[in-house]
Amino acid sequence: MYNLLSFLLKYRATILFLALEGLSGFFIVNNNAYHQAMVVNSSNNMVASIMDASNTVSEYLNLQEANEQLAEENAQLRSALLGQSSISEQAVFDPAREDSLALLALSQDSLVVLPKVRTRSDSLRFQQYAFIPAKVVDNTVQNFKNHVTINKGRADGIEPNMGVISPNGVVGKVKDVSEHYSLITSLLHTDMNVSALVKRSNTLGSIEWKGVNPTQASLKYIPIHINIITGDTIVTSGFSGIYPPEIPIGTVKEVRPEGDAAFYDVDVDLSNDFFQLAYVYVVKNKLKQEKDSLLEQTLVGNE
Amino acid sequence: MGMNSRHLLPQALNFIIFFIIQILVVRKLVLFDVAFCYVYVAFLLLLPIEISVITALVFGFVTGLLVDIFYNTFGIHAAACVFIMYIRKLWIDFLTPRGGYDMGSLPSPRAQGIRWFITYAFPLLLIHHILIFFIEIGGFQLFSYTALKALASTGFSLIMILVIQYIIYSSSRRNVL
Repeated sequence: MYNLLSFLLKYRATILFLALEGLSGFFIVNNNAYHQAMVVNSSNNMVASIMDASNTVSEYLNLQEANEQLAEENAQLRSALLGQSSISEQAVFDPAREDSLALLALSQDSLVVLPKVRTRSDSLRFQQYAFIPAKVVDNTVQNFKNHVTINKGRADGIEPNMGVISPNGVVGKVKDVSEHYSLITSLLHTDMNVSALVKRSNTLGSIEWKGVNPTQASLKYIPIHINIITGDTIVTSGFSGIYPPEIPIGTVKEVRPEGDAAFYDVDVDLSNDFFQLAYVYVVKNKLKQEKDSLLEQTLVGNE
Repeated sequence: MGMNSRHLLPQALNFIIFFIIQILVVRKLVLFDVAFCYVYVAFLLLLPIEISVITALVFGFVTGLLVDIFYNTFGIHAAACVFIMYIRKLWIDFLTPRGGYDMGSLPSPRAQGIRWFITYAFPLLLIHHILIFFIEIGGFQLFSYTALKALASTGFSLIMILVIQYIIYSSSRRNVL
């Protein structure tokens, strides 16, 4: 007993050292689970308001940029709106269009769209997703695991795992929420992946970030028999229900066969400029819960 | 031996100064996309020579966790700070000048000379930065790029730490550093 005590006393610094390193390691490994219980990151109200305040100056400097971006988006939305109203006026039956719309609806996994109600499908799809606008309070691009902090939180209906987009494309996924702020895992995070489609060939792949260049990501799992070329547009697939389908991600920059593997190594220029992120939309998928519970039921039923 | 009251106020001031600079000024300062600036480590490096390893470990852990909250890296800075606080005492003993340290002196450039300080601070900063970046990426898959980040950041942090101490020292007559 005395020996044990004298041992503990003699090596108390080393024991404390090991204990603190163990605790830090525990925090690092359990980062995801831990966040939910106790807000110890920049979505913490106090931390986020400090960042918000310290960003005021740079925000004013970027005001013009943000304005231009919003004006451009407004123009795009206006033209899209015009196009839509003209489509709904032509009630001519067009089998080819009907089919493609049905296909589109299937690929976008909107559960409610029937081929017959073609002119309504767009408005139904539109209602499936609600968009919560938010201002970027903090954003990093040069780390290996980047995060974005925004000024909307639980009080505004934001929940973990919702998708986040900007007018230019995919931004990331909500990781943690506090009352008035949220922490977003940026697309520029080495653990992030987004289900993506090559728009021209409808090939499914996965977007991952390698950790070095904030303007580029790589597209994985494109089989080598697929025709993919520089300039191809990459969009979200919408399969996960986190992002709406056809949200831009980027364009193909370079295609390399990956050794003797079955897949290409594809470099993608990201459509979003993460250096200039100012305003974003959090995507609320009203049917996600329904879809997930259905999936769960099916899986349970199969067992 | 704990921290005596003579050191308490200057150390508290040190903490506030370096922490505020870290969070409000240099948090988003990144040179050439690779050189990050972690000046807050200066607070830990400048703790009095005679404090016990236990005290140093606790200071390292708490400071690291506070920084982690602002960097969304919960645990990483804490782990790195605890590590350098554990080896700090050994390193200070190893660097003991002929005739030993004066009682109650600080491991600062002003008290020990700038060459001594750089010899003392550079390896500790380098180890701290290497730990930060390799733990963040979680492996050696981008070894040379991660090593470049660590090395460039160490240089940047060290220069900023020297500059900040010089500014504070020349603008105040108090015996802060």
